Amino acid sequence: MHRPEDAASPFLSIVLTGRNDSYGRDFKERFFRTIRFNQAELSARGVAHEFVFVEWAPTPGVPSLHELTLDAVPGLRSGAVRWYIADRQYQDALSLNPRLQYLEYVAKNVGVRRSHGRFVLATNCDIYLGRAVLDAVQAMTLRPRAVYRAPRHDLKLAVDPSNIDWQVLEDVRNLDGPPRRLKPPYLAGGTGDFLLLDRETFHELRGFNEVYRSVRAGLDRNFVVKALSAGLPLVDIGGPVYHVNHVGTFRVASRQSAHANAASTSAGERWNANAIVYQNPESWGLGDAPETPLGDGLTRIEFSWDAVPPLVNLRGILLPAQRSQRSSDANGGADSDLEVRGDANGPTRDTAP
Amino acid sequence: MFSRLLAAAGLVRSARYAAVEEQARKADVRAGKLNETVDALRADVREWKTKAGDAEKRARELEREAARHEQRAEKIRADLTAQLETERGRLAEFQAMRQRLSGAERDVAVARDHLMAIEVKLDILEGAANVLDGRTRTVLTAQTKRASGAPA
Repeated sequence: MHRPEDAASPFLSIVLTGRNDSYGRDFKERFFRTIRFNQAELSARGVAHEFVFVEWAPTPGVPSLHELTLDAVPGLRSGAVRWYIADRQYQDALSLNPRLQYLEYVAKNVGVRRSHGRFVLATNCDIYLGRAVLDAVQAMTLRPRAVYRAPRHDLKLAVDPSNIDWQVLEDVRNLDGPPRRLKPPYLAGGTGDFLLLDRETFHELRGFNEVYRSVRAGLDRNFVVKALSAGLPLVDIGGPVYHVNHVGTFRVASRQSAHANAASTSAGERWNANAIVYQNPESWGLGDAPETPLGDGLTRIEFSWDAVPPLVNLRGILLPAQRSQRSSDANGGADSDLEVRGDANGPTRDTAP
Repeated sequence: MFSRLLAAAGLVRSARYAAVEEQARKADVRAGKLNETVDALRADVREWKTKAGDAEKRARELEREAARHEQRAEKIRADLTAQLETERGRLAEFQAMRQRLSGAERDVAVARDHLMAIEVKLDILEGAANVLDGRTRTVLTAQTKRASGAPA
């Protein structure tokens, strides 16, 4: 377990994952613009922060995103980013679904596990932090043992992404549809774009589900269900984050083709992320993987079978804490609230007979 | 004096006579009017007697009707009491049924959760089986090629 000294800990770690594979076209440009914006805003507000980037299973023969990023955003060279390159073999060794080419939440776990900040934000590479988020981290009003959520506001495809500033972000005419609101009980809606809580609790929860590695969608919500099941409250941080739509955006692609994002299995289509929780092994986030520091904040996570979690860990699939009767009656149990009880070590019901 | 003499002879003065005659006429007129009044009163009395008779008859009818209504009300009360008891019984049954339904719903929800967990576990097992199958085939293919001397 990586436990940095408190004195060296920034207030906020921002965990990102990606690789140089042109996901959703112009991935690199979108990423550079976003990280440049967020870096500038956080620095301007004096927020002690770090970016923890996990370059997951990079494509051979393609330049690493690391150097490209530092060249594109020189402000990151001053130690504001720690970069991990996870060996490609981990993707194959961990995968339970060959159609899934990117185990995004395992990759995020790698970053969460290695974060030094008092608070850890798991987000995506093309998410602009909003004012309310920046205000909250600047004022350091965040409390531990609470999961903070922010709605995602999507900006239209037509918005010029090369010219993003507050005026563009906050102009409601640029929004692609009415502003999203977080909906109880899970405060769902772009969940993977903003999950913030203190590092200690994040580690107690052992990150995102890496027992069920057959699906891509729903793992972010599944984390929220686990957090609720462990008795943690969900808190709306008070304002949105922003995302500029692009070809390949889930919502855009969904509009263009109902199956555009069907990278999941048939089981994934019936997967109900509200119905189960999980208990990752102690070695979650490739905790046992050997690391080779390469300098300049770059670390290579070497492949080792010792670091690979079991292919099958059925005891790691659990039921959430008991659903409350009231919500169950009101919602037919389909999307009900959870009684808040138990602790962060796990839910209170076992699926084992 | 003259009047006394006339009186002694059983006579009166003409003026006196005229006055008395006038009084007698008036008395006759009054008597006639009184007779008329008495006749009218008698007619009234007859009329009131008739009305009283009708009213008495009506009162008796109303009494009978009231008695009938009372009987009917009593019967309705008895019916309602019986119906109330039936409804109370049904309500108790309904509440018991609702409790059972609620329990069944909880059981279904729990069963659904377990089913979901089992589906996820099966999915994991299926994924793992496919992965192992793929790895095994890779190894076996390589071994076969090595055994046959073919280039790997």
